[in-house]
Amino acid sequence: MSDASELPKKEEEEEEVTPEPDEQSDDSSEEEAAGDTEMDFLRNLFSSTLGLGSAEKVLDDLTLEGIAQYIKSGKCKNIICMVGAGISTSAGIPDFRSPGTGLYANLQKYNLPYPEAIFQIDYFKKHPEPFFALAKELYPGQFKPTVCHYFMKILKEKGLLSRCYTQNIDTLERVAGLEGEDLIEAHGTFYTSHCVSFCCRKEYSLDWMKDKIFSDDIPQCDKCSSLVKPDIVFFGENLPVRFFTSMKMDFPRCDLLIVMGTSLQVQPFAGLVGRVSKSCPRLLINMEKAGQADPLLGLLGFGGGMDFDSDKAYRDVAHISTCDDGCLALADLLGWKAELEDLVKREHARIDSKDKKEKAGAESKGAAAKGSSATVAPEPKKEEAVHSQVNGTTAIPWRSSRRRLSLLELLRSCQDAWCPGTPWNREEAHVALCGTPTGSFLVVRDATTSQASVLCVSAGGEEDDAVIDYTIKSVGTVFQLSGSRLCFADLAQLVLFYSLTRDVLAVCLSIPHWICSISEKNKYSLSKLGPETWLHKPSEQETAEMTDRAPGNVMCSIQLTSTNGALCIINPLYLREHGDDWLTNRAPSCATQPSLYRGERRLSTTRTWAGAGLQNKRAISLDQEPSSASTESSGLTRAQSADSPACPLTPLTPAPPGGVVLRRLSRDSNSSLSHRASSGSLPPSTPSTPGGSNRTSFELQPHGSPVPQSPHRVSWIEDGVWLPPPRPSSLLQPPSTELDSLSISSIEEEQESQTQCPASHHQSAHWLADKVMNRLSAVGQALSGLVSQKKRLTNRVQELSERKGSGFAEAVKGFIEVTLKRGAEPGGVMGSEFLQEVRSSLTSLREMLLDYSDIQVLLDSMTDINDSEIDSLVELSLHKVALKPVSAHLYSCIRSSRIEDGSFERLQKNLTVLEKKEMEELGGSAEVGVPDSVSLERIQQRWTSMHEAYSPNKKVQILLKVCKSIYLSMSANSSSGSVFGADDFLPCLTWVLLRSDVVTLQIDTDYMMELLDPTQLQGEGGYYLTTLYASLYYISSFQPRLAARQLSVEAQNSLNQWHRRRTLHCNQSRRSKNRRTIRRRERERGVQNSETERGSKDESVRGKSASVESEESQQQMESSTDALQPLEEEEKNKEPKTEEESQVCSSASDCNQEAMTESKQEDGLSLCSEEEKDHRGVEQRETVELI
Amino acid sequence: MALRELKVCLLGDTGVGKSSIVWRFVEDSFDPNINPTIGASFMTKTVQYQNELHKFLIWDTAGQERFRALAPMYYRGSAAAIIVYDITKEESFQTLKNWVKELRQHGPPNIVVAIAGNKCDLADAREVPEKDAKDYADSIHAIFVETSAKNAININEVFIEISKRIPVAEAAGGTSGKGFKLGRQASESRRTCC
Repeated sequence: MSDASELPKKEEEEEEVTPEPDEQSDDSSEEEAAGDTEMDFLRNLFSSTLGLGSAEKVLDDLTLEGIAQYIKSGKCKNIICMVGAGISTSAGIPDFRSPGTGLYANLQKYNLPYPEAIFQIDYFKKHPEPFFALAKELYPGQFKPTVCHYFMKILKEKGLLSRCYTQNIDTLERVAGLEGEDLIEAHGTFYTSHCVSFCCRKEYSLDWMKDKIFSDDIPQCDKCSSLVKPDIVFFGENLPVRFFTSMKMDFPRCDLLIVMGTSLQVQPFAGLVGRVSKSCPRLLINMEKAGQADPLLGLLGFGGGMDFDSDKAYRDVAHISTCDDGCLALADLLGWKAELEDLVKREHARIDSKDKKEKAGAESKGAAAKGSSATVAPEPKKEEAVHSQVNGTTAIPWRSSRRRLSLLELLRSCQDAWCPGTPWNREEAHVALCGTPTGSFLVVRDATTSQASVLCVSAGGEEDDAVIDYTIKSVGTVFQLSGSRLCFADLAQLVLFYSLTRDVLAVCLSIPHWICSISEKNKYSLSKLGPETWLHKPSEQETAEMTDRAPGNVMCSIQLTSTNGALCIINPLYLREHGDDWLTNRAPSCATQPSLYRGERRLSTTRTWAGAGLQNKRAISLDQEPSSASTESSGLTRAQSADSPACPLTPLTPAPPGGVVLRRLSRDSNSSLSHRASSGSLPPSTPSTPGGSNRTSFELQPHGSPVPQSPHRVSWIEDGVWLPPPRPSSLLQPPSTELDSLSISSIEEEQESQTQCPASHHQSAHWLADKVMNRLSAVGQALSGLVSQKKRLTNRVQELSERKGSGFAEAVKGFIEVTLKRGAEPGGVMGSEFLQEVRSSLTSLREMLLDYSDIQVLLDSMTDINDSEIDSLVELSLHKVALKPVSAHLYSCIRSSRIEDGSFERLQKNLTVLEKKEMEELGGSAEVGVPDSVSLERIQQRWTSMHEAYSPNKKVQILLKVCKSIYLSMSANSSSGSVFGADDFLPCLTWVLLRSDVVTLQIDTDYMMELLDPTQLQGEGGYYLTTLYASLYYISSFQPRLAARQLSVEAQNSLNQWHRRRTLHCNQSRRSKNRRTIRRRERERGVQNSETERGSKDESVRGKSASVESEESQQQMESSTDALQPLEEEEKNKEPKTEEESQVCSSASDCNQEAMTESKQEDGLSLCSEEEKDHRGVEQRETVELI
Repeated sequence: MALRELKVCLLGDTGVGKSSIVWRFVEDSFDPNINPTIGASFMTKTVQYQNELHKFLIWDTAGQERFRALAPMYYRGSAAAIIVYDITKEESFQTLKNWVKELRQHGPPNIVVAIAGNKCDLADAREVPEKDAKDYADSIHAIFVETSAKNAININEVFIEISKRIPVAEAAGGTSGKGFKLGRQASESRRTCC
């Protein structure tokens, strides 16, 4: 743990160090990769269908024993563990992410625009309060890793653990002793926090964060007063870079993959199992088999999935058990069992004693739940100790000062009342419950084992079937309702949980109000209470009293029940998965329960958390929460009986809008057909169930699967297939990136991992099975990120440019020919002017491209990116077809022109003069650091790759990277709080340039400046490009004594030219955007009429876009006349304007061939008219193009 | 809401706190529209002004005398310039006057000029009287505020004032309209020098 604080730094470094093959920036590398994946694909196809796989069989036996033998054989040196929430849930951490827990409902008070907002990075930066309030509410009381965690620790101690990939954010791995190096926290961690300011990124520890959270402060950076955020992955953030970098390194070398507690259904995690070598054995320890490839998909080559049972299975082993049991069993086989148990005992004792100390004597008592023998088989004494830890607020050191009884404590105190001993059996409980308010309940123990076995819940009716039974299972140390996946450490937790959320129950449990009035003093009398008292309705007075006291006195339960373990923070993924229908699907017609009663009930169960500071803010929304709860209930018949006791047998009246129940369907294959998105509409036949008998246990309840699943998942990881909501599927647009922060496509933006993103080997497969894939929505979702839109566009443009006889192909060909011919001829146009023409031609080509209907369709399908991004996408694909063939030629043109004007000579001369100067002599301040030799080396590599890139956009991206690493070096050894602006950056960049190949850089700079997509020129890229230009200029014009006061004539000249082009094209691109907007509007016209003001304007434009365009151009002209030579200019522009009109006219009608030829001609014109050296001529021509 | 991109250029002697001002401006609020930039010399921030969104693209310049000649590359095309001086350094105020002169001669026409007397928290060490600076600013019709990046005084005000002064008439064309004008001017100057 000690080195954990270094972790982020390491990440940074790794980000820097990682070789970035992509930065060679030539698409060829991508293509090669694609070729590889095609090979992979074929190989998979053959091996899976024909059984030609050459993979070696490593395991003698596909069992746990086989695995153990393999480990013992010594051939297995690198074990990778992939773990999910299952390893923590098995420790008894209940899930509070389920809809309706009130936790979600709690979010309402923060006025979130939508529930996910709380984990949206943008929203967080603006309104951090909700997140921290939530964090406080859910903060774990204790960090106590499970057997499974310690098993990994043992693997580490034995030197076998290569890496543990965890999806959990609960830091339990670290508590168990895995350290930063051993661990990849794919979804981030609470262990460290960082300042959100990108310039600062100061790191903070868990303790620091804890203090802040519990003092109700919004954590702020000491250094720059920005927000500090725990390092969990928010929406809008990428997975940690380390995840991808180490993945590439680890998996190929892996000798054994152990997958625990995850159902392998969330990408990119799930894809990892396919990244190990073909012969690498894979062990799954989980409650159910997971990760198996769909046979059909396997056929398609999206294999890599687990194969446990088929006759071709040769390496995958599934051990179906809890993670703890599985680990123990494996440890036993390996002969490590004693060691493991010892370690668990020792560590738990250590944690307990530490906690006890912190508890400072705050005593707590309670009936410890009588769990079955613990998996680790600790002595009874120990178990008790554990439970007293868990027991209520006192278990949490930083809450110990507040001495109040929590609802959970109270429940524990009177457990005998609601969970009476032997004389009570099911029948008696039913009699007692009959006629009690809905939700009243008793837990009945098994007569023989005296284990709690049945939960009897009153459905509120008077009749015989007014009581429903639910079987309680105890698995290991935990309790769970049959049919639910939620586990609880003791009964009280279970009861409390189900009083807050229904989960598999027909109604929420109702806890009597009077229980809350019990104070610490009289709490011991509670234990004497019997079931009669428990079910007895409180007197009016008591109720009134209760109402007075609520909600302030009612204790929060949520954080208490989670005391056993990990952070129960809602993970964004979960929310993303479940959507916010639990908030919005509130059915108005669902007020089935008398509202007064409901209000009371809510009061009794309202959770406040003990945090005094926040209590006041806790304006509970009494109305909303209950109604959502009852909406939930309405999905099941039982709820109906509340107000229709007379006809409990009636099948559900077609579910009142809610039907929220099935939001999350079981993962079972037979129910997997209907998916989450269709939650709102239960098939009418489905809810035909329970009426039958009230004694039916839940097994017979609706979902129709033999083992009904909870509608809620234990965790976001455990969630089923990542099913996208149904969307208009089109071949051109596979369901797109809902994965957001996780999606491969967003990762792809990261240069580092572009070509080697986790599943990139699927990337090129899209051509094969476009149609099939779109039908397989689950796969489609995963693939959507993979088949990147950029790639599609690039391919399409490539096709177009090669299609014989197409206008675009002709134009590109012409452009390349003319460009290659020119520039070389003596006396021709040189340097920047030539480049400007190239740029103009590129722009015309782009316009032409945008007129193609299939390109338009493609672009229109990219609804999730904005216009400027579209522009740069088109630009990039254009670079590939048009600029790539001529880039070398352009370089040589720039070179010869630069040699001619002597600037290279000057550069090199001054280089020798300036070289020896250190930062301060260059004007920088003393505290500014310069890159060390390592980073300088890296910068040199980047310069090289920048030179190799032919696309100016790509070049600029690399430049930005260089600048970023310069910034890093600058602030490396500076005191905190200093901000480095241009005063320091320019000298530092100059210092770097003096140690670089300035000649090549000058060429690249010219190239970028003239050819860069104009839309980028005002932004960051433009700024740093300007700075690079300025710095080079500074070097080349350096005069030892006299600092140059004025720009040289040449420099001014070239600046002017540059600037002219830049402003010209700015207008142009704006115009093109307008055109596209119009087009888009046209498309959307039929569909929606709610247009903005601007939209309606455009609408009127539609018919006569030309006139508006010309109006606009008029405006431009007018503004141009504002400038300097009003009349002359005006006149000159008249002619072009008409031309423009015609072009716009034609372009507005989609894909007009005429337009193409026309612009082709124009293009030719632009290239030929060159001969005129008259500047006016040139200018006029450019104006033509502009317009 | 219409989004206008406004290029704002920062001028002023080295060490007067140009970048601190921007830093303060950009970092003070948690604006979801901030695209994290790689360093403090170029930053962006979007603010709402009336019914428009103004996205400030803030270009910092190196203030050292030796880099004076490079400034035109930066202020070209700016909608506004903030010239910063240090109220505790008379010299920086003189430099400011030079900047104003240069902008008037070579800068974009209609550029909005704002003068910021930074470090007003160090009133004890003041060398430039507020009144002098104010009078000067009035004489050139510039925005004038005394700021403190350290204590976050008047930082936002500078930008609000700039928003106010950006000609509304250009709303239709945004900055590109402005850029167009400059383009013409540029080509004209080119004609004269060739």
